[in-house]
Amino acid sequence: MVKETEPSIPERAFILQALKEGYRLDCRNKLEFRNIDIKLGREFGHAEVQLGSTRVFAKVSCEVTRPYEGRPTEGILVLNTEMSPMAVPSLEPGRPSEDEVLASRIIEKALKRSNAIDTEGLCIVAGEKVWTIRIDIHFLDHDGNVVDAACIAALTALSHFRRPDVTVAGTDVTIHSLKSRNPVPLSIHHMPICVTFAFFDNGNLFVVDPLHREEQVREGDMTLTINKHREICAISKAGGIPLELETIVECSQIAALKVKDITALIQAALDRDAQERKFGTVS
Amino acid sequence: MSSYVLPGDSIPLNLILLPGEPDPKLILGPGLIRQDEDSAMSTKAGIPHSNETERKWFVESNQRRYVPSAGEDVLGIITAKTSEYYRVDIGAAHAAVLDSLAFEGVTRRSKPNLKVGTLIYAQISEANKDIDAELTCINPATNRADGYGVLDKGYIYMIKCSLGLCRRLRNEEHPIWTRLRQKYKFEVIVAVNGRICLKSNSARATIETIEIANAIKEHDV
Amino acid sequence: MTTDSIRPIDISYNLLSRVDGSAKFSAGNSTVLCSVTGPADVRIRDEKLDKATLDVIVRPAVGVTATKETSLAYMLRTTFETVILLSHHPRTQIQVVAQIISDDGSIISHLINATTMALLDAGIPMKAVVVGVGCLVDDKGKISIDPTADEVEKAVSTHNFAFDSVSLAVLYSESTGVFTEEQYFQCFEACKSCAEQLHNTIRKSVQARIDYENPQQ
Repeated sequence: MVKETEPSIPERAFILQALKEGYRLDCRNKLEFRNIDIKLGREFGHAEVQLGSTRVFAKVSCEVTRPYEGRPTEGILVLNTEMSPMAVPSLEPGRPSEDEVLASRIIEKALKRSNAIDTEGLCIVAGEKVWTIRIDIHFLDHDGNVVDAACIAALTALSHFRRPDVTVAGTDVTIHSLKSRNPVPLSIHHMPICVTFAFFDNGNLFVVDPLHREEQVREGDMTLTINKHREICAISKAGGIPLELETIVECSQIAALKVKDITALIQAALDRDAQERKFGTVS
Repeated sequence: MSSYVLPGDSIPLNLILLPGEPDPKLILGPGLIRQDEDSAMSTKAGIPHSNETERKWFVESNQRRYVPSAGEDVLGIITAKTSEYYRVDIGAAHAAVLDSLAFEGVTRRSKPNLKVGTLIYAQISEANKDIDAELTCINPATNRADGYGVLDKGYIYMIKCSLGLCRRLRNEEHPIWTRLRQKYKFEVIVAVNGRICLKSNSARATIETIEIANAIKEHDV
Repeated sequence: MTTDSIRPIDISYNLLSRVDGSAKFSAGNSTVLCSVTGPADVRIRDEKLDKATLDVIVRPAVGVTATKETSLAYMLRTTFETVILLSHHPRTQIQVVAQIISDDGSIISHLINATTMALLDAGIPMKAVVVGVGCLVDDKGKISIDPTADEVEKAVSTHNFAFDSVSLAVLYSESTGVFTEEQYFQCFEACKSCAEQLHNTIRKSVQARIDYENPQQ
């Protein structure tokens, strides 16, 4: 448990002055994302995403369970996000910080509440057996904007995931092993992607994909969850300085463009993996 | 001697005893503990350095966490204050203590009132693993400030890097400084606790400082 | 199929920005990422006046930290407490977080190896390097070193050892299944010789890193 020291007064002033002059600490444009690197594992449903030096690892797994009483024909989506002192050394394990709870809520809204995953397709026997899909999101390194990185990692892992095939004959359910029968991908309706903005100088200045240093001096933040069809799935602005309506509209226009690029990156990573599997370069 | 060691490796000391000196004094710095009469054992992975005439040995590792040692220059941030002293974060396990009178020309009446968050350049006056380190902003050799004190003039940016890189960068002849000086005009303080303060006075101060900072960070692997 | 050596090893250091040391250790498809913070501030209730407190957290790839991970963390802590020079940093905490990225067998030994690498990267003072090696005995009495998850399923007994690199003495030994005394010592010898090889691999990885950082030397 390390006490974290806030940036000193001169550093704060420096970061803000640089932003006012239009410069960021990593020489990035205000509306530019850091380099996004997506790596897929040998196992299905394993994705590691690096956003600059922010790192997130998502792992999707499944098991057969009983459905919820009220929803007998729907599969279950379980999301687990926990930050450890590996990403933020000042965290005390088992006691989530406010930021962590907020981040996990935004990710949950993006993945579960926007109906991105077709849960009805996960039903095996109505009222008896359904698939529970579990997404474990591990924050490995927190250099700002973990929400966007986690969202990309989770969506990539979900798209990459394959569940075992099942056959139902009367009341008999056979689950085929991954080797004996081609596994089945999840059916994904759309990919809601998070784009986070940080605001400075009474909302006159904003940047996308803030660094940790920028998050430490920001006055407010907002995360927009949008899919590539330009549909807004969620907007999260938990406090901070009040924003003009125009700013929010402007942000959403920018976010829609970013989402298009990110969706293409995810698709490219998935295509590359599919190619490698086809030609057997993945052992 | 191999060019690097792992924990548990033995390093020969090759002590040259002077006549009439049965128990020679020697200094084993970080990363070394005495093994027997004529050898030391490494406790870190890194490059062993020695100065056999001065009888000093140490291992340079890539540590990032600072362990205070008396006489070293550090950059710190004030985290708390009382009427008698300030608590300063110097990146070590414990916050260091800075007496509010440990500034040049300060008396009980004219004590500075520094805010939490103030950036300080100071020297460690006392360090021991069992007590919190003590700082001073007066150079004990000259009794003057000599550059120590509060850093608040102009736009100052601080970066963090490994202790080894900081130690190397304290050499003004380091190739990176020669290269950067050709392009930029700037002031720099390299402290041994893994922190570097940069300040540029040009019209493009902020962007130039950022560029210098990123050039230094590229060396930190 | 039996194997007499560890799967191909990949080690990378200093991957994480906010901790004091980190390393990723892979052997085949078993991968562990480990971070070390410290010597740093310690909670008052964990403070020891004469030495540092070692805190270990093991995190699984799937699910939350449960009994199995807590017992692995206990194993790592007791193994490393004897090797780290805790008395050099009294009233501090050294925190190790080991994240299992993918588990394809012999994860205990690779947790040990990843922890060693991260401690080396953080410059935590240690008396020796700790190396972990696991093996199994199959139904024909054959020994396989560093088994994969599939191989472990057919094992009659599995054995894990951690060795101190200086004396090659055993720091940790754990066995499950049915085995004879003779088999145990065979496993011990087989793992010990692999530990020596692994120690050399670690030495090379440290050298490669130092050479990379100091191109002029």
